[in-house]
Amino acid sequence: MHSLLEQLTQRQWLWQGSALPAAGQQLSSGYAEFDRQLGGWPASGLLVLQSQPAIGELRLLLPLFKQLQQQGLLGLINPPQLLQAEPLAAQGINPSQLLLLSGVSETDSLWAAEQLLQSGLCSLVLLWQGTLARKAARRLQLAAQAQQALVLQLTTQQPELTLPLALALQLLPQPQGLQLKVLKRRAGWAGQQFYLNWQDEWPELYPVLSRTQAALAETA
Amino acid sequence: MRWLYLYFPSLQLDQLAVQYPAQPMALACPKRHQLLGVNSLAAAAGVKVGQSVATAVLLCRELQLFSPEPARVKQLLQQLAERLYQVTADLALQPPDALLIRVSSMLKLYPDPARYWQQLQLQLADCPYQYLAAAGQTPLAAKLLARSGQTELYLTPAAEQAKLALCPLTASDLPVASIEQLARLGIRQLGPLLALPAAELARRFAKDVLHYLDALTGRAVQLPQFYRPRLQFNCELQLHYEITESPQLLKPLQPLLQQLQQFLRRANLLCQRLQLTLQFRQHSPLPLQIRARAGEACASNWQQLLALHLAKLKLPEPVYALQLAATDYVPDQRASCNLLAQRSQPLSKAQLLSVLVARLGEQAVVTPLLSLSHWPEAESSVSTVAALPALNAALCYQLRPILQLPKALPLTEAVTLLSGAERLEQLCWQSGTLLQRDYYLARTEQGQLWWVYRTPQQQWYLQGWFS
Amino acid sequence: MSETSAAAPPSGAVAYAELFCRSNFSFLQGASSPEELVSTAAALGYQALALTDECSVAGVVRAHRQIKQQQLPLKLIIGSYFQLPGLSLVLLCPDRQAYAELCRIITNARRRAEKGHYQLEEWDLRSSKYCLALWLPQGEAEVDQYWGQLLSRHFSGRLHLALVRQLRYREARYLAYCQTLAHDFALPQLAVGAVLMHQRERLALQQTLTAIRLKTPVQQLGRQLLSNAEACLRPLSKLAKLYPAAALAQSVTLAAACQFSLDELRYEYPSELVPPDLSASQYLQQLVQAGARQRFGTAGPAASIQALIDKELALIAELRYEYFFLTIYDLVQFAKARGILYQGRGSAANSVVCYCLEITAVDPRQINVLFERFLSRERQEPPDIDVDFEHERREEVMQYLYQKYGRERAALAATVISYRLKSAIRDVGKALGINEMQLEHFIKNLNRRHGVVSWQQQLSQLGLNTEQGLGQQLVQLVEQIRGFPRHLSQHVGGFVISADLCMSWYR
Repeated sequence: MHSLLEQLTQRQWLWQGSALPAAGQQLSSGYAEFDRQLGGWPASGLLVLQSQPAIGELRLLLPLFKQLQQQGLLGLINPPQLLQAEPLAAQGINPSQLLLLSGVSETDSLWAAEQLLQSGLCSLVLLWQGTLARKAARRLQLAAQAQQALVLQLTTQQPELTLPLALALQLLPQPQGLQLKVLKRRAGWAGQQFYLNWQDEWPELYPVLSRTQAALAETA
Repeated sequence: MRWLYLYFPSLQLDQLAVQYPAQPMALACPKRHQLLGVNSLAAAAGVKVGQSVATAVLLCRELQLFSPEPARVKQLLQQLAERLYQVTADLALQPPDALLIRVSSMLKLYPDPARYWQQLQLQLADCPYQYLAAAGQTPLAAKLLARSGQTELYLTPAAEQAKLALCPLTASDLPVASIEQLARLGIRQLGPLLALPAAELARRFAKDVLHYLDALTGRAVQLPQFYRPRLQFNCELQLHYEITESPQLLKPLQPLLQQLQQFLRRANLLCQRLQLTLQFRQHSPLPLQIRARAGEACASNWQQLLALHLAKLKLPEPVYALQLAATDYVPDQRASCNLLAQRSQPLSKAQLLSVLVARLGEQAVVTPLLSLSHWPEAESSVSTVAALPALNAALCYQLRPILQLPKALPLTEAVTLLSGAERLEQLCWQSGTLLQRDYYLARTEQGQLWWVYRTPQQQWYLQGWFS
Repeated sequence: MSETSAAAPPSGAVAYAELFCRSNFSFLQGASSPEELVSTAAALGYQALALTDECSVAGVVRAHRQIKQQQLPLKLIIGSYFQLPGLSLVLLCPDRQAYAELCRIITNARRRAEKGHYQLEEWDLRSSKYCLALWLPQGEAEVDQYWGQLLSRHFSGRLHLALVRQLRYREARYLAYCQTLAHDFALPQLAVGAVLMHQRERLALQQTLTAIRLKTPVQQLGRQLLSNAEACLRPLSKLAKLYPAAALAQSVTLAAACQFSLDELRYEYPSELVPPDLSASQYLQQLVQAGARQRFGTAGPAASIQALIDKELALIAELRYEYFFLTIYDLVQFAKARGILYQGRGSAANSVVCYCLEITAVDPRQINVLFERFLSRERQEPPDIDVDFEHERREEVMQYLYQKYGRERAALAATVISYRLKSAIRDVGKALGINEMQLEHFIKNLNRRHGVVSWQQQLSQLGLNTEQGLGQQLVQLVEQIRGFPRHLSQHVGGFVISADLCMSWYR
């Protein structure tokens, strides 16, 4: 029985509540609160972010991009609008490390994601897609695992939590920054929620309204 | 013919004959004091293989005795192989004294076998070695024929079989015990041996015999290990005048480095270490090691490294000759690979892009381009093959939407403005018109952060998302 | 003392003075002439305008003259703008001493660098006592702290922090930062426009000037161009919305403190030209009398000639122009002694006094002279005495002047080289990215002096489409840029000699 438990733990089918995932397997998110709550991003596997557009879903990922660009290319598939290199470059992300695929059908985008992963050249694939079929999810997760890479799905819809996900988060807008809810977490509990305050990083987007600021907000 | 067997019965003695011409020589086993080989002049005096040294010396007073040097012989054979490799491939060394060539593949290049044989002969003519050549359907057949002295090259299969049948078993590779055993049965030639039923052979004799016969007749195929040329770049140069300052050595080295580059490029290799040996008249030769960790083929790069080494070198004496040898090779992999990656990289970026473009189309696969201008529509994507300018993060605006609409849409919902106006005015140099837009950061009721603008006509538009 | 020329603003509108404004005498940066700027500022109801070209006061004379001639209700303040790595500074002249100080700073800065450039140094700032300063922070904490401390120390009581609002990227953050700085260094905040053109329609020209300066076509300049046309003289209503009321009021306060006008300046001549016991007038009379005897004979000139001489001397004394004649007399005597050939010409030939002083060789007995052509009360201009010296020996003459008055008090007058038609077409064309060979073709085949066909029509005939596109732009911009200053050059022979520290006087 003892050996059975060992086997299950090794395969990550069984975790002990007190055991945290090894720190070396996590990537720092670049945000102190995020790292404190979740220990950072998983180092590999399939992740899902449920989010409305334009609330900071990409700004959340910028420090991750900056880290991972050193280990390989960043593949971005089907962004809903034109991706601008400048704000990324301002944060230290080199546009030549980005590979942008757009106007691609769903089947093709899954194929492309696999190609990107299997080439061994990509450390991250970001895929904008509504839903992910179980089979496709499984394949992406395996490919990501095999190549020690991350696949992130950005969707506005509720994700299917029975998929083999390393992490599923829901992002909600906040006047001071971003609210995050954990929908699923491998080797962890769901239901956790926390806030990121972005008033220092993005003071114009999350203003601390004072009298002077209000005065200067007057338009000509 | 399919296989050619070249048998060199007296490599060492032939080589020695060059040094000591017109000299009866013999090879003597140092332990048993028995002759292992004699040259023609000694044979003429009556000296024979197997005789004792004492006898041989008595028969021929001028006889020179040498001990066998297997290593030397191996080297000679190697050199022979190198030489013949210039005209033929599929060459296998059969130490201690033969070479095997698979002719059938070579005949694709040489349609006329006679022409091919002529080439080989030309090469062999430059060497002082005696040889016996025979051709056969299988390697062992050719070998047997050659060692039996049956040096016919253009036999029909039937004729070849006939010849083989007459070969003595002593010339074959059969174990000595089996040969004796067969001799007691009265089988001394191959023919009768082949006539015996296989079952009998299997029962009476060691397995080796059957294997040998299978290989000989072609029932079992046994490919030898073909020779691969040993890579060696080694050249010497006598200087026209003595060089006293080490940096001056670079000039005469240039052509040698060019040769090295050609050699490496042809073999698709990179060299990781060069050895430069400087020769002096009195002083002992001075070797210099120059390393290139990642491996280097380019002559100018090697030159740079040599220059660095030679700059700090003090010569004890003037140099009159030098020798350049390359060691430590690595295969040349043009595709750059990330040594730190934890993942295997079967593809290069170019290959990956080709694959993606092949299925998705040229337009779908791009790398975004940074063009820092005031007007938002000026930025554009570019295809991946273009070289991108260097990145200067300090010049890039941080407060710009990461996702921008291809065409600004009229604003349909109420938003809260978060900032004062940023006025952007663009002159269209072609039409002379001036476009003016006042840009604002805005938040929708759902909490989305938008980049909107207002025209002088008080029309509002959505330009981008602060995703 | 300048006349109070500030008019009351239209009722209800805010009062404002523009204290940071550059004209086209900030070469290839300002896109409007000093005349256009003062006219527009007056029309908008500004209290005052400070003309602050970069390390130069070259444009102030034109501005001053425009105000005088058009009787504009605008006060002109003189100043200059300087840049150092990490520092942008405007110096203004409240009084005559500050003006002298500013000219000294400009001279030193220009002397330190090669022609066309200047090098301001901390020493210049440390030694300043009279000028008022407007500081425009860079936006970088370290650098601004350094300069803030330095300026506070040496300009205490005379330093203001200048706020610029031009609706640029992240301006709110910059303004909040400026407020913090103002608070840290206890500086009053002052609204400025950082003006480069008199109206927004000049944006195309301003961007073209940038392209010419950077030697790159406009289409490739990206963010090196102005992002909008806010760097123009803006209506008071707009300014009221953009700037805090206190900052606007501060501009008026500072403008009121500046009372210096160019009218205060007069030529001050070197005193050593006159013997100690005589006045300039007396000395001149003496010389003229002696000269008259030489020219007309020991008996003296005829009564009619003498009457002319007396009339001239009286007018000269009234207008106090004695030194002009004395200086030239001294120079001409030197030339005569050295055997250097010279000839007085131009309107000076109408002066008998000049004849007596041997400046000119026109005998009034031979030709009817009209003194009014040379000097008159109405003209309000000093006399223009042109003397040509033998070309090969002009160097000797210049050396004599430098030696006599010293380098501190003598200087060569500078001329401003401005855009002519052909240079304008060439530079503007290149800035627009038009093919250079095509441009040369146009320029070579253009006949400036054609009476009937205008140059625009000629261009059209030569194949340029002047109705639309770049061709139309080219024509419009060339029309605007003609006459714009390009750079300074040495005047052919003009020399300026002064009583004490020399100030460059531009024509």
